[in-house]
Amino acid sequence: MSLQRVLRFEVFLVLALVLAYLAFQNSLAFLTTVLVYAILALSYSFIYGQAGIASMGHATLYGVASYAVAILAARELNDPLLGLLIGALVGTLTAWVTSWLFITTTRLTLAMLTIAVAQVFLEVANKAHWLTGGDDGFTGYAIKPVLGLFEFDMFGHTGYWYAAVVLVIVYAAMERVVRSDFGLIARAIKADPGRIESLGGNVRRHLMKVYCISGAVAGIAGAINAQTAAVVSLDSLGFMVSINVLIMVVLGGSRRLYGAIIGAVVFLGIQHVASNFNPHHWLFVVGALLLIVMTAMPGGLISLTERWRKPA
Amino acid sequence: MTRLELNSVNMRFGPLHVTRDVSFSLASGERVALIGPNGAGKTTLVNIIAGSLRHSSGLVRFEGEDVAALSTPQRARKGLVRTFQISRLFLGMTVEENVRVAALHRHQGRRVACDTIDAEVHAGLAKLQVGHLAHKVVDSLALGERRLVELSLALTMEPSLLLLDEPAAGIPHGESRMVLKAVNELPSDLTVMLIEHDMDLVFSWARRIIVLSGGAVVMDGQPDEIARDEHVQRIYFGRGDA
Repeated sequence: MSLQRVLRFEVFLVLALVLAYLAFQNSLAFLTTVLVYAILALSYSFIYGQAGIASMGHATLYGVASYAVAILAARELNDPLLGLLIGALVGTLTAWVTSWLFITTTRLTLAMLTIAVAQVFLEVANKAHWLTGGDDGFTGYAIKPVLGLFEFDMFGHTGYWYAAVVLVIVYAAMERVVRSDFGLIARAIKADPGRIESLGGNVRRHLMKVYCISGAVAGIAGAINAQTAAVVSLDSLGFMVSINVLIMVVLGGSRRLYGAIIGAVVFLGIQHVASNFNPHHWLFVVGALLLIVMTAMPGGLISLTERWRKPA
Repeated sequence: MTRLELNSVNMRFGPLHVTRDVSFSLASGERVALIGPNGAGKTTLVNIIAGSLRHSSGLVRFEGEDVAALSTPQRARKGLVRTFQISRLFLGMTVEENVRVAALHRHQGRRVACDTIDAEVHAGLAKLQVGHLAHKVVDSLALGERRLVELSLALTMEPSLLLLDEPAAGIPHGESRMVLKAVNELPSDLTVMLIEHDMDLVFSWARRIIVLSGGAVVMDGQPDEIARDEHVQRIYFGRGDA
């Protein structure tokens, strides 16, 4: 049953990616942003939905990797796949270094510490003008063609497919981790960390591994952001990224990974459409939707699909 | 062989002296009940032995080793396993998944074939006859069934000393029989210490009873001795002028 369900979503995802490409040829840059956020939201759903780490500073992992990939690309390390690897490594390393500070804390303490860590990184990037370009953003690097064949074009065709393929691979890989015994223990920790300790488990070590895996995926999202946008700004380390990702995951539903993808699409879709109508009040629409979802279906939008299945 | 040895263990919370000079030892395969009125310090003692509280002074040895410096997880890995007064299961997960988490922890850090884990999960479910509940989410179980699942988590760890903190507490009478049956059928080489208020359970099951009052051991002996002792009756059953 489980394998069928995963495959079903993967087939659905590939179809949706093809259809979106055909339907919105003029907004490929926007669609690529959605895909980047979908990958980032997946990495957040992994720590929040599976292991219960309600971080408020997820932008750190994403932003640091974005900068690292862009800065190294400016120094000739500009092969895109190498960039993905750099992003994943830098994301993992950032996760590992910062997690010591907060990984065993919960609730408000965790929220405060993760916000503080994110602010520190933001401030460092702001002040280190010589390295990051400060608030001008970091530009002036070029990315080589993907596999030496597909050049990043100004209309974003390559960028879109590049991000789309990575999204599908990342989703399939993470879904495997979630279904493994490693994922089972993460969910058990979320349910009752003290009980895990009475079974002889090392909660801290397991949570750090979970956070590092999330860091790798967030780093990959950061790498694609740097490669397809050709500029990395301070926004990538900002509080709004952390909050938006949290909203996407809650909106879509955190119990299953695909909720993150749905949340990213719905959130950014509404932002895009609503801000065209009225650039000042689009947040109102998102806020209202979030309220409705959270009161009517606390499990997020994915509980709709589960509700269909139940009676059948 | 001595599994557990306590030597003048004391526990103080500030001015509060909760555990006073507690000394006893448990041999392998013993069936001991720890009883005493509310506030006697029974759960505190279990917490000290399991490692969730650090005693103020005295010696706690498990299988000959001083365990004072070991954390709860470290003690659990050595075979010192407890259950909780209020069932603590991994909510939102199935019975099978719960037992699997325990089985995975028995093999900490070692690579074990998936088949071995699967086999242990099945054995763990079969041991307490909860196999038919395997695919149920634990939230949906009756209280008595939850107890059984909690026991099978503990047994899957293959402990050498099992601490049961009020296994029959809060369970409807009809269901407490199945918990009692499970406790009676625990493996004979396993040392079991049980905290319980249900005197029928205590006197039908235990072969040794330790009475705790005001944090100190006031009596340690066989059930019939305890039942006859006037001092115990006075402090425990509230007779006389105590």
